[in-house]
Amino acid sequence: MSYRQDNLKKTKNIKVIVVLISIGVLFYFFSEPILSVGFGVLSYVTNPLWRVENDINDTMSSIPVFLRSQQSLTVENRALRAKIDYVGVQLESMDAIRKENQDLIREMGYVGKNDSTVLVSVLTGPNVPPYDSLVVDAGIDSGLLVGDSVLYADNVLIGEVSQVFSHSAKIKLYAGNGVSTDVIISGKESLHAVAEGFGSGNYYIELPSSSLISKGDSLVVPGSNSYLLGVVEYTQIDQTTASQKVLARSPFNIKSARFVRVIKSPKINVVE
Amino acid sequence: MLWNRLCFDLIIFVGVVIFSWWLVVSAIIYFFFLYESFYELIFFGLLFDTLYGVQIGYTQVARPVLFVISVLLYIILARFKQYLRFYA
Repeated sequence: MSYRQDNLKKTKNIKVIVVLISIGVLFYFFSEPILSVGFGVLSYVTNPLWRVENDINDTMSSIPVFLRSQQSLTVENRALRAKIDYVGVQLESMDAIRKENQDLIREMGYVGKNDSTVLVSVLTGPNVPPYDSLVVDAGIDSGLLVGDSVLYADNVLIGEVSQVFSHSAKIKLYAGNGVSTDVIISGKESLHAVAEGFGSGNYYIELPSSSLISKGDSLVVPGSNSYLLGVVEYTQIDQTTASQKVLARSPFNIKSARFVRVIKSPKINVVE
Repeated sequence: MLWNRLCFDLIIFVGVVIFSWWLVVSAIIYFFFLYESFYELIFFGLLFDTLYGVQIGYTQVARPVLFVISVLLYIILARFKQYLRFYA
Protein backbone atom coordinates (compact mmCIF):
# COMPACT_ATOMS: atom_id res chain seq x y z
CA MET A 1 0.00 0.00 0.00
CA SER A 2 1.40 3.39 -0.85
CA TYR A 3 0.34 6.70 0.63
CA ARG A 4 0.59 9.70 -1.63
CA GLN A 5 2.14 12.61 0.28
CA ASP A 6 0.01 15.19 -1.48
CA ASN A 7 -3.17 13.38 -0.34
CA LEU A 8 -1.93 13.38 3.23
CA LYS A 9 -1.11 17.09 2.99
CA LYS A 10 -4.53 17.83 1.48
CA THR A 11 -6.27 15.96 4.31
CA LYS A 12 -4.26 17.86 6.90
CA ASN A 13 -5.13 21.21 5.28
CA ILE A 14 -8.83 20.35 5.24
CA LYS A 15 -8.70 19.36 8.92
CA VAL A 16 -6.97 22.65 9.81
CA ILE A 17 -9.60 24.63 7.88
CA VAL A 18 -12.48 22.77 9.55
CA VAL A 19 -10.97 23.27 13.02
CA LEU A 20 -10.37 26.99 12.38
CA ILE A 21 -13.92 27.54 11.09
CA SER A 22 -15.39 25.64 14.04
CA ILE A 23 -13.36 27.68 16.51
CA GLY A 24 -14.39 30.86 14.71
CA VAL A 25 -18.10 30.04 14.82
CA LEU A 26 -18.06 28.83 18.45
CA PHE A 27 -16.04 31.80 19.60
CA TYR A 28 -18.30 34.24 17.80
CA PHE A 29 -21.28 33.20 19.89
CA PHE A 30 -19.63 32.49 23.25
CA SER A 31 -16.86 35.04 23.39
CA GLU A 32 -18.19 37.79 25.62
CA PRO A 33 -16.71 36.67 28.96
CA ILE A 34 -13.37 35.84 27.34
CA LEU A 35 -13.14 39.25 25.69
CA SER A 36 -14.08 41.00 28.94
CA VAL A 37 -11.50 39.13 30.99
CA GLY A 38 -8.97 39.62 28.20
CA PHE A 39 -9.40 43.39 28.23
CA GLY A 40 -9.25 43.52 32.00
CA VAL A 41 -5.89 41.74 31.94
CA LEU A 42 -4.47 43.56 28.90
CA SER A 43 -5.45 46.99 30.25
CA TYR A 44 -2.59 46.78 32.77
CA VAL A 45 -0.23 46.84 29.77
CA THR A 46 -2.20 48.91 27.24
CA ASN A 47 -3.38 51.76 29.49
CA PRO A 48 0.17 52.94 30.31
CA LEU A 49 1.08 52.65 26.62
CA TRP A 50 -1.89 54.80 25.63
CA ARG A 51 -1.00 57.41 28.26
CA VAL A 52 2.58 57.55 27.02
CA GLU A 53 1.34 57.88 23.44
CA ASN A 54 -0.93 60.80 24.41
CA ASP A 55 1.91 62.53 26.26
CA ILE A 56 4.24 62.13 23.29
CA ASN A 57 1.57 63.46 20.91
CA ASP A 58 1.07 66.50 23.15
CA THR A 59 4.80 67.20 23.20
CA MET A 60 5.21 66.73 19.46
CA SER A 61 2.28 69.03 18.68
CA SER A 62 3.91 71.88 20.59
CA ILE A 63 7.23 71.66 18.66
CA PRO A 64 6.04 73.66 15.59
CA VAL A 65 5.33 76.60 17.93
CA PHE A 66 9.08 77.09 18.40
CA LEU A 67 9.55 77.44 14.65
CA ARG A 68 7.08 80.26 14.21
CA SER A 69 7.84 83.95 14.34
CA GLN A 70 6.83 86.04 17.35
CA GLN A 71 4.69 88.28 15.19
CA SER A 72 2.57 85.41 13.86
CA LEU A 73 2.16 84.03 17.37
CA THR A 74 1.05 87.46 18.65
CA VAL A 75 -1.51 87.81 15.83
CA GLU A 76 -2.85 84.33 16.47
CA ASN A 77 -2.98 84.98 20.23
CA ARG A 78 -5.08 88.12 19.71
CA ALA A 79 -7.46 86.32 17.33
CA LEU A 80 -7.89 83.42 19.79
CA ARG A 81 -8.57 85.79 22.72
CA ALA A 82 -11.26 87.59 20.68
CA LYS A 83 -12.79 84.23 19.77
CA ILE A 84 -12.77 83.12 23.44
CA ASP A 85 -14.55 86.32 24.45
CA TYR A 86 -17.16 85.82 21.74
CA VAL A 87 -17.72 82.17 22.63
CA GLY A 88 -17.91 83.10 26.33
CA VAL A 89 -20.78 85.49 25.61
CA GLN A 90 -22.55 82.86 23.52
CA LEU A 91 -22.12 80.34 26.34
CA GLU A 92 -23.66 82.68 28.87
CA SER A 93 -26.70 83.25 26.68
CA MET A 94 -27.00 79.48 26.15
CA ASP A 95 -26.87 78.91 29.90
CA ALA A 96 -29.67 81.45 30.36
CA ILE A 97 -31.78 79.75 27.68
CA ARG A 98 -31.11 76.32 29.20
CA LYS A 99 -32.14 77.56 32.65
CA GLU A 100 -35.31 79.06 31.21
CA ASN A 101 -36.04 75.75 29.45
CA GLN A 102 -35.60 73.83 32.69
CA ASP A 103 -37.85 76.28 34.55
CA LEU A 104 -40.56 75.86 31.93
CA ILE A 105 -40.29 72.07 32.08
CA ARG A 106 -40.53 72.22 35.87
CA GLU A 107 -43.65 74.36 35.61
CA MET A 108 -45.20 71.68 33.44
CA GLY A 109 -44.82 69.26 36.32
CA TYR A 110 -41.70 67.31 35.36
CA VAL A 111 -39.33 67.53 38.29
CA GLY A 112 -36.28 66.08 36.52
CA LYS A 113 -33.33 64.49 38.20
CA ASN A 114 -29.99 65.68 39.46
CA ASP A 115 -27.32 63.91 37.45
CA SER A 116 -23.80 63.77 38.71
CA THR A 117 -21.11 63.81 36.04
CA VAL A 118 -17.48 62.86 35.99
CA LEU A 119 -14.87 64.19 33.61
CA VAL A 120 -12.74 61.36 32.22
CA SER A 121 -9.75 61.39 29.90
CA VAL A 122 -9.82 59.52 26.61
CA LEU A 123 -7.03 56.96 26.27
CA THR A 124 -7.68 56.03 22.67
CA GLY A 125 -10.18 57.14 20.06
CA PRO A 126 -12.11 55.41 17.28
CA ASN A 127 -9.12 54.09 15.32
CA VAL A 128 -10.14 50.60 14.29
CA PRO A 129 -12.95 49.86 11.83
CA PRO A 130 -15.65 48.57 12.19
CA TYR A 131 -15.56 49.62 15.84
CA ASP A 132 -16.39 53.20 16.76
CA SER A 133 -15.41 53.22 20.39
CA LEU A 134 -13.45 55.19 22.92
CA VAL A 135 -11.46 53.79 25.82
CA VAL A 136 -11.50 56.07 28.85
CA ASP A 137 -9.37 56.22 31.94
CA ALA A 138 -12.14 55.62 34.47
CA GLY A 139 -14.13 52.58 35.41
CA ILE A 140 -15.86 51.01 38.40
CA ASP A 141 -13.53 52.95 40.70
CA SER A 142 -15.10 56.21 39.41
CA GLY A 143 -18.67 54.92 39.69
CA LEU A 144 -19.30 54.31 35.99
CA LEU A 145 -22.02 51.86 35.00
CA VAL A 146 -23.00 50.23 31.71
CA GLY A 147 -25.48 52.47 29.93
CA ASP A 148 -24.26 55.79 31.38
CA SER A 149 -24.53 58.57 28.80
CA VAL A 150 -21.35 60.24 27.59
CA LEU A 151 -21.12 63.88 26.55
CA TYR A 152 -18.52 66.02 24.89
CA ALA A 153 -18.35 69.48 26.49
CA ASP A 154 -21.64 70.05 28.29
CA ASN A 155 -24.24 69.40 25.69
CA VAL A 156 -23.11 67.12 22.86
CA LEU A 157 -24.18 63.51 23.32
CA ILE A 158 -21.69 61.12 21.76
CA GLY A 159 -22.43 57.68 23.13
CA GLU A 160 -22.89 55.47 26.15
CA VAL A 161 -20.75 53.28 28.35
CA SER A 162 -20.62 49.83 26.79
CA GLN A 163 -18.27 47.87 29.05
CA VAL A 164 -16.84 48.79 32.44
CA PHE A 165 -13.70 47.46 34.05
CA SER A 166 -12.00 48.28 37.30
CA HIS A 167 -9.98 51.29 36.03
CA SER A 168 -11.17 51.80 32.47
CA ALA A 169 -14.28 51.63 30.33
CA LYS A 170 -15.27 51.34 26.69
CA ILE A 171 -17.68 53.87 25.19
CA LYS A 172 -19.90 52.90 22.27
CA LEU A 173 -20.35 55.90 19.97
CA TYR A 174 -23.78 56.64 18.52
CA ALA A 175 -22.06 57.53 15.26
CA GLY A 176 -20.86 53.92 14.94
CA ASN A 177 -21.92 51.90 11.92
CA GLY A 178 -25.45 50.58 12.24
CA VAL A 179 -26.27 52.26 15.58
CA SER A 180 -29.74 53.87 15.49
CA THR A 181 -30.69 56.84 17.65
CA ASP A 182 -34.06 58.57 17.97
CA VAL A 183 -33.68 62.29 17.29
CA ILE A 184 -35.70 65.42 16.75
CA ILE A 185 -34.54 67.58 13.85
CA SER A 186 -35.15 71.12 14.95
CA GLY A 187 -35.23 73.62 12.15
CA LYS A 188 -38.15 75.18 10.28
CA GLU A 189 -40.27 72.39 11.76
CA SER A 190 -39.59 69.79 14.43
CA LEU A 191 -39.39 66.30 12.96
CA HIS A 192 -38.96 62.97 14.69
CA ALA A 193 -36.49 60.76 12.89
CA VAL A 194 -34.05 57.92 13.39
CA ALA A 195 -30.37 58.75 12.84
CA GLU A 196 -28.25 55.83 11.63
CA GLY A 197 -24.58 55.98 12.54
CA PHE A 198 -22.25 56.15 9.57
CA GLY A 199 -18.89 56.12 11.31
CA SER A 200 -16.42 58.93 12.08
CA GLY A 201 -19.05 61.19 13.64
CA ASN A 202 -21.46 61.03 10.69
CA TYR A 203 -25.18 60.22 10.70
CA TYR A 204 -27.61 59.27 7.95
CA ILE A 205 -31.35 59.99 8.04
CA GLU A 206 -34.01 59.19 5.52
CA LEU A 207 -37.18 61.30 5.47
CA PRO A 208 -40.09 61.98 3.15
CA SER A 209 -39.19 64.45 0.41
CA SER A 210 -41.81 66.93 1.66
CA SER A 211 -39.89 67.45 4.94
CA LEU A 212 -38.39 70.92 5.29
CA ILE A 213 -34.78 70.26 6.24
CA SER A 214 -31.90 72.59 5.59
CA LYS A 215 -28.20 72.71 6.30
CA GLY A 216 -27.48 73.80 9.85
CA ASP A 217 -30.56 72.23 11.45
CA SER A 218 -29.78 70.57 14.78
CA LEU A 219 -30.29 66.93 15.69
CA VAL A 220 -31.49 66.89 19.28
CA VAL A 221 -31.99 63.79 21.43
CA PRO A 222 -35.51 63.74 22.95
CA GLY A 223 -35.53 64.28 26.69
CA SER A 224 -35.52 67.01 29.30
CA ASN A 225 -31.88 67.89 28.67
CA SER A 226 -32.17 68.09 24.85
CA TYR A 227 -28.64 67.03 24.14
CA LEU A 228 -27.24 67.87 20.73
CA LEU A 229 -26.29 64.88 18.58
CA GLY A 230 -25.28 66.52 15.34
CA VAL A 231 -25.86 69.21 12.76
CA VAL A 232 -27.31 68.70 9.27
CA GLU A 233 -24.61 69.11 6.62
CA TYR A 234 -26.19 67.91 3.41
CA THR A 235 -29.62 67.04 2.05
CA GLN A 236 -30.58 65.41 -1.21
CA ILE A 237 -34.04 64.70 -2.57
CA ASP A 238 -34.41 61.40 -4.41
CA GLN A 239 -37.15 61.86 -6.99
CA THR A 240 -37.46 58.16 -7.78
CA THR A 241 -38.33 57.10 -4.22
CA ALA A 242 -39.88 60.41 -3.02
CA SER A 243 -37.52 60.43 -0.08
CA GLN A 244 -34.91 62.81 1.21
CA LYS A 245 -31.43 61.72 2.25
CA VAL A 246 -29.98 63.75 5.06
CA LEU A 247 -26.35 63.59 6.15
CA ALA A 248 -25.46 65.07 9.51
CA ARG A 249 -22.27 65.19 11.45
CA SER A 250 -21.13 65.69 14.98
CA PRO A 251 -20.27 69.36 15.72
CA PHE A 252 -16.69 68.46 16.63
CA ASN A 253 -13.99 66.02 15.51
CA ILE A 254 -14.38 62.94 17.71
CA LYS A 255 -10.83 61.81 16.97
CA SER A 256 -9.47 64.94 18.66
CA ALA A 257 -11.50 64.51 21.87
CA ARG A 258 -9.20 64.34 24.89
CA PHE A 259 -11.80 64.57 27.67
CA VAL A 260 -15.43 63.51 27.83
CA ARG A 261 -18.08 63.79 30.50
CA VAL A 262 -19.96 60.74 31.78
CA ILE A 263 -23.37 61.20 33.38
CA LYS A 264 -23.46 58.74 36.24
CA SER A 265 -26.74 56.93 36.73
CA PRO A 266 -28.24 57.33 40.17
CA LYS A 267 -27.68 54.26 42.30
CA ILE A 268 -30.89 52.52 43.30
CA ASN A 269 -30.94 51.21 46.85
CA VAL A 270 -33.07 48.08 47.07
CA VAL A 271 -34.78 47.79 50.43
CA GLU A 272 -35.59 44.18 51.34
CA MET B 1 14.68 32.46 13.82
CA LEU B 2 12.27 31.84 16.68
CA TRP B 3 13.65 34.82 18.59
CA ASN B 4 13.22 36.98 15.50
CA ARG B 5 9.63 35.87 15.23
CA LEU B 6 8.98 36.60 18.91
CA CYS B 7 10.53 40.07 18.58
CA PHE B 8 8.35 40.86 15.59
CA ASP B 9 5.30 39.55 17.46
CA LEU B 10 6.09 41.92 20.33
CA ILE B 11 6.52 44.86 17.93
CA ILE B 12 3.18 44.08 16.29
CA PHE B 13 1.55 43.81 19.73
CA VAL B 14 2.76 47.32 20.57
CA GLY B 15 1.71 48.43 17.08
CA VAL B 16 -1.86 47.21 17.67
CA VAL B 17 -2.01 49.45 20.75
CA ILE B 18 -0.28 52.53 19.36
CA PHE B 19 -0.09 52.60 15.56
CA SER B 20 -2.72 52.94 12.85
CA TRP B 21 -4.64 49.77 12.05
CA TRP B 22 -3.74 49.73 8.35
CA LEU B 23 -0.02 49.84 9.15
CA VAL B 24 -0.32 46.96 11.58
CA VAL B 25 -2.46 44.87 9.22
CA SER B 26 0.06 45.42 6.41
CA ALA B 27 2.86 44.26 8.71
CA ILE B 28 0.89 41.19 9.80
CA ILE B 29 0.20 40.19 6.20
CA TYR B 30 3.86 40.72 5.33
CA PHE B 31 5.00 38.46 8.17
CA PHE B 32 2.35 35.91 7.18
CA PHE B 33 4.18 35.45 3.89
CA LEU B 34 7.56 35.55 5.58
CA TYR B 35 6.97 32.83 8.15
CA GLU B 36 5.48 29.36 8.01
CA SER B 37 2.08 28.84 9.71
CA PHE B 38 1.74 32.39 10.99
CA TYR B 39 -1.13 31.70 13.43
CA GLU B 40 -0.33 35.01 15.10
CA LEU B 41 -2.57 36.58 12.41
CA ILE B 42 -5.57 35.02 14.18
CA PHE B 43 -4.26 36.06 17.59
CA PHE B 44 -3.89 39.71 16.49
CA GLY B 45 -7.42 39.70 15.08
CA LEU B 46 -8.59 38.60 18.51
CA LEU B 47 -6.41 41.27 20.11
CA PHE B 48 -8.11 44.01 18.07
CA ASP B 49 -11.49 42.68 19.19
CA THR B 50 -10.43 42.53 22.82
CA LEU B 51 -9.02 46.05 22.93
CA TYR B 52 -11.45 47.93 20.72
CA GLY B 53 -14.53 45.74 20.38
CA VAL B 54 -17.96 47.08 21.29
CA GLN B 55 -21.48 46.29 20.11
CA ILE B 56 -22.00 46.90 16.41
CA GLY B 57 -25.38 47.78 14.98
CA TYR B 58 -28.20 45.89 16.62
CA THR B 59 -26.14 43.32 18.55
CA GLN B 60 -26.53 43.38 22.32
CA VAL B 61 -23.02 42.17 23.10
CA ALA B 62 -19.65 42.73 21.53
CA ARG B 63 -18.94 40.06 18.92
CA PRO B 64 -15.39 39.16 17.79
CA VAL B 65 -15.89 40.26 14.20
CA LEU B 66 -12.22 40.84 13.44
CA PHE B 67 -11.33 37.41 14.90
CA VAL B 68 -13.69 35.73 12.43
CA ILE B 69 -12.32 37.87 9.59
CA SER B 70 -8.76 36.92 10.57
CA VAL B 71 -9.65 33.21 10.55
CA LEU B 72 -11.10 33.53 7.05
CA LEU B 73 -8.16 35.64 5.94
CA TYR B 74 -5.76 33.00 7.24
CA ILE B 75 -7.50 30.28 5.26
CA ILE B 76 -7.60 32.37 2.07
CA LEU B 77 -4.01 33.60 2.31
CA ALA B 78 -2.72 30.11 3.18
CA ARG B 79 -4.38 28.83 0.02
CA PHE B 80 -3.00 31.74 -2.00
CA LYS B 81 0.48 31.09 -0.64
CA GLN B 82 0.51 27.62 -2.19
CA TYR B 83 0.23 29.09 -5.67
CA LEU B 84 3.11 31.52 -5.23
CA ARG B 85 6.25 30.46 -7.01
CA PHE B 86 8.35 31.68 -4.10
CA TYR B 87 7.05 28.84 -1.94
CA ALA B 88 6.97 26.12 -4.59
